[in-house]
Order: sequence, then C-alpha cells, then structure tokens
Amino acid sequence: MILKTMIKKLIEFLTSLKLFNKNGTNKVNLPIYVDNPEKIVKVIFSPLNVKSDRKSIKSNAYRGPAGKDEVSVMRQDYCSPTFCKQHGKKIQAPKEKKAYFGFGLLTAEKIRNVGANVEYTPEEHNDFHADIKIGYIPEKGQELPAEYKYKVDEMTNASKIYPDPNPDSNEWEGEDLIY
Amino acid sequence: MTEYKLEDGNDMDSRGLELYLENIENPPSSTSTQISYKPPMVGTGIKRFFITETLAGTLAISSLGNVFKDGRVKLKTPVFSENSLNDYNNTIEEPHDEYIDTLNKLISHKVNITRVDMVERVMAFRSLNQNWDGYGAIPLEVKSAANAVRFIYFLNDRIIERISDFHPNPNGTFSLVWENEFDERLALELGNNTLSYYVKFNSQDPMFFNDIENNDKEVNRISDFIKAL
Repeated sequence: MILKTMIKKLIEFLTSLKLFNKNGTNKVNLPIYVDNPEKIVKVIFSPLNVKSDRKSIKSNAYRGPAGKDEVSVMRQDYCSPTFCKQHGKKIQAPKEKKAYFGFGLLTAEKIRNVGANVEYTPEEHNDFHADIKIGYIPEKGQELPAEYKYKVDEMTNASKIYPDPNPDSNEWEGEDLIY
Repeated sequence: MTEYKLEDGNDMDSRGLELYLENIENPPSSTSTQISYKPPMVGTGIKRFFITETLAGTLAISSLGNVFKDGRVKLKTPVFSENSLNDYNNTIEEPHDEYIDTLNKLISHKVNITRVDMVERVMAFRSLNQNWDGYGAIPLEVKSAANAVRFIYFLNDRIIERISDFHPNPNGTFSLVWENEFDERLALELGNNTLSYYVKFNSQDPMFFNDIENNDKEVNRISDFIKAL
C-alpha cells in the first residue's frame, strides 16, 4: 500500500516536471528570450493563407486578430516539425477553406529586421508557443496603417514556404526546415 | 551640258551610274533633252566626262544591265547568296522579331480576374465563419465588404485585371495587391470607412497613405500608381 502510494506520488512528480509526454518531445525549460538565429514556424492553411501559385504565402497568415497584437508561431529549434504539424492539424477546418497546408519559416532575426518582435508565450498545451508582435493592435473593421501593413508584407515575403508533401499523414515527411 | 568629274573613269559601273542618274532626271521620252555618252580620256589621272544629250548614247549604255527598258528605269536584278541571307537574319530578322516580342510583352496583360469575379469573391468572404483562421479571426465586415465593392466599381477594367492578390484579414478588413515582376507593388486595405495603402518602387523608399476616402478622385490617384508598376 505504501509502495503504491509512493509510486503514485513519483509519477505525479515526474508528470509535473513534464519530462515526458505523448508527443515524445524532450521538454526542457526554454530560454525566455528568443534568440536571433532561432527558427520560427507559422502553420499555414489553404486556400486562405496560400496564393494561387501555391508557392507563396498571403500576408493574412502573419496578421493577428482584432484587439490583440499577436501572431501565434512556434519555436521550431526546440520542437520537431511533426509536433508543429500535429498542432496545426488540430485547428484545421477543410470545409471552411482552412486545410492544413504546411509551414512558413522565418528566423527571429528576420522578424526583428522588419521592425517587429517575437516573444516567448508558452501555452497550456504548447510549450513552444511564441507570438510575433508588430507594435500595433488592429481594430475590428479598421484598416491597418500603411506602415504596419508594409511591415507585415515584408515579413511575409521573407518567409520561406514548406508545403507538406503528405498532409494526411500524422508525421512530417517533408524536408528539414532550414532557413 | 552637264559636267561630271570622276576619280576613276575606268570604272564602268561608276560611269553607268552617272549616266543612269542623268537619265532619271532626263528620261529618254522627253523631247527637250538628249543624252549622249562620250568615252573618258585615256591615259590621264583624272577623267572628265562631257555628256551631251542624244538618244544614241542612251542606247549604248543599255548593255550595262538594261537600265532603260520601254522608257522606264529598271534596276539591276539583285543577286542573293547564302551569306547575305545569314547576314540578313542575324542583323535584321532576329533583332526585329526580338523587338516585336518585347513590345508584345509590354503591351499584353494577363487577365487575372474580372470585376464581376472580384465582387463575388468579396461576397464569399462575408460567409466565413467566426475564428476562420483558428486564432480568432472574424468574417469580412459588412461595411468593409461594401467599401470594397464600391472601390472595385471605381476601378478601370484593366486595373482590375492586373490584381495580383486579394484576401480577407483576421480583423474583418479586405486587402488588394498589385505587383509587378520586379517586386514593386501597391498594397491596399479597405476598412469599414476608409482605406490605406503603400506604394513600393525599387528606386525609392515606400510611400504611405492613410485614412484615404473611397471616392473616384482618390481611386484615380491609386490607379495612376498602379499604371506605373
């Protein structure tokens, strides 16, 4: 009985450390500051985020919602492309023109070069979550000032697109994400 | 009488040309003039001709290539060789074709979309669900959609056909982009009441325009920028 209790407490302790999880990521405490060379991944959906040539991304992929200056991304240096894919597929909705397509890849340095920033903002189910901030909170129904629109577009154009060769698979089967 | 001076009177072609030109000015059918031919003086460095106007002289030079026939001037039949054809192709034909191709590229345009198509797309974005991007995006606002349709109807057909991209934004606005092959662009966003845009040419810093009224005067200005792309 005591042994059972001890084992139970041990499991709870290990779980609280989050050393192991179903996705198989080796979770460690990430540095709070997102360093310049870090790879930043944005999950891309089609057709809403992808241009008709399917080789480039629309700038709405790097736009945040009304009332928030944040664009959800992931710190890919600390997690696998498979993790990023599985996270993206959780929120896809193909019937609503939002089918998981692949990734847009940037570095923190590229983001900062256009005058934006990327900050580490872990979430309950995503310890690798970060937010791109452009320095302006968009309002509902209000066009973005041209200067910020330019910033977002430059960031979009700097992004490297990685279409998923097999979106239906649960694993990332594409090439390594290299910027 | 007309006096001609030649460097080398032994050049029969030159003499023939001189007489040919003379006959252009005074054709054989004319009664007021007569052409004659007098051989050059032999043995002198500079030969001089004194041409009198007799019909006999005209007939004497007809052996140079039937310059005259039936009172009309006739040119010698040109002779083409393979070399001259190659030269023609390299120096005239090919550059000419290239020039025409370049012109066609400049004046032709790819029809990306029509006015009716654009309006339909705008209306379709109105039917997007809440949270359409998974991060809290809202559908295209009614007023932004109306603003977009009004803007589209101000545009000339050729400007519409050159639209490179368009999309809804997560905060309910609508974006349009015109871009050329040199990455120069005009990117525009329509909100509920006004619009903003920037123009980026490679030769200068981007220009920014905010809180722009959606009327024909402003749209004409925007169209002028687009034409410059």
